[in-house]
Amino acid sequence: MYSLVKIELYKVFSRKRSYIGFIAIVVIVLIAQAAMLWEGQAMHEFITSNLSNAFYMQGNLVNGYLMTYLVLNFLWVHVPLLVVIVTGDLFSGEAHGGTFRLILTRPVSRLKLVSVKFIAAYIYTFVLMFLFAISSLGLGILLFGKGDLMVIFTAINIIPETDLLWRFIGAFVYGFIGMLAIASLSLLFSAMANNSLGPILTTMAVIILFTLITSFNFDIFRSIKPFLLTNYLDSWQGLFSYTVKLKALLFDSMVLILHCLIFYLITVIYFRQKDILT
Amino acid sequence: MKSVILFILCLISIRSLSGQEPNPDSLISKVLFEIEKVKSYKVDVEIEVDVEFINMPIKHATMFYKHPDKIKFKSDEFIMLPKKGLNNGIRKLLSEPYTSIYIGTENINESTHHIVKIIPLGKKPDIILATLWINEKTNLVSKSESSTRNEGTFTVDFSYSDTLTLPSEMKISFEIENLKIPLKFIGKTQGINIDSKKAKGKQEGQVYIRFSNYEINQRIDNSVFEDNTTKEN
Repeated sequence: MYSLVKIELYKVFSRKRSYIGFIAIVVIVLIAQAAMLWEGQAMHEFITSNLSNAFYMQGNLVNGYLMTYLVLNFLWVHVPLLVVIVTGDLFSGEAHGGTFRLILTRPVSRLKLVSVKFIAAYIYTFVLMFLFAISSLGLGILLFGKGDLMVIFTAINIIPETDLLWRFIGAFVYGFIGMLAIASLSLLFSAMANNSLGPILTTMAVIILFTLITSFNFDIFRSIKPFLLTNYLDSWQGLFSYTVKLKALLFDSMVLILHCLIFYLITVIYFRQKDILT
Repeated sequence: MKSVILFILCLISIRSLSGQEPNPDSLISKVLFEIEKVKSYKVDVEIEVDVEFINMPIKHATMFYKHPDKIKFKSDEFIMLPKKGLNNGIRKLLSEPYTSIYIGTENINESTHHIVKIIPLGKKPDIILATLWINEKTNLVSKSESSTRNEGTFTVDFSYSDTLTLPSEMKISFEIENLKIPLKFIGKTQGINIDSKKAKGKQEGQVYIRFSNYEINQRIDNSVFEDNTTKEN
């Protein structure tokens, strides 16, 4: 199993497209940080304009933590795309290239093959999210220093610096779990397809559609929202409320993990019965 | 405005005819005498902001004061300080020309307090009317209420320890505009009910400032006040 994972990882990391995500993450974070370096103070003054009528404010609010929080907000919609362009190709790429016929003549069970592909996709997602965390948080603190974080979350929450690192680690861990669910969905579509583009586009279409339904506050959608994957993707923001509701966060992360399991099981069932014709 | 002044002047003349009330100027002189005793101080402060739409923990800072009006807060943390009622406002108010009116007495915390109204006489004073509650025994101001030209009314309640003429706690109550921050700018907007009527209004906020470890009339270097990130009011 270990050697199968190693082979699968070798395949993932020897493809050029796997590095698109890494480069995109670093470039986007760099651009966002540069924009904040330029406009951060003005933005802060804009946000706090009505508070400044009543208060003098002293201290560094335009800091690395604020930058990371903003980058997280901007990117949680876009990171799925970076995940999917790699994970959506793991099955379909082989089907398209005709390599499944060769692999499946070896004494490797289909269950093992599916499991190994899921593990490789999860490891790639972890590396991507780790790079995201290091580049945004590390670079943010390096460029802007540390300080308290002001977050608007039903009220103005000013979270002290000493209380922030665990929240950010939690947010990235939660984000990672969310991306695992996205990766699992794309793997499911990938197993069903015989070309690379189809599963990537289908996964993105599903995410966009679900996100739209989640965003609209119409009664007609209210009853189906709890069943949509995207309803749980941004729950990491709960870590930045003044009093963190850990139970709700744990529930949401369990729902995401359940999605991963369901997508994995469907993929296994489907792939075991699939006729390899390409 | 004229009728108000006329009414106040009538009130002064009626009260002075009775001839039994303390002279407000003399009361204020006693207050100023107590204030002027302190030429400088350094003190640890604890700041608690109590505004409905602001969640922040209690903050800590060191406050420096040097006669007549230099004030500086230093802190490693982000701090928010009320613009009104903090910067030695009573001394500043009484250092400008004013008219004072004696109103009467009131018991606060089982101590008799003289109530004096102050009408600043400057061309366009920021504070248009102030009321001081002066402790009869200590000649210290226990409460002040100030009406400003543009920014509503604010009240300051002072608590003192037995040994010091400087407050051990201040409660500053003021009006603040409701949250008008563009919610979409940062953070999650989903599930937030935005009441537009409420957002336009004002609400009362309080800031509690607790003082400890006073170092009074010790030498404080001017360089302490140089990096003036907290502006004077």
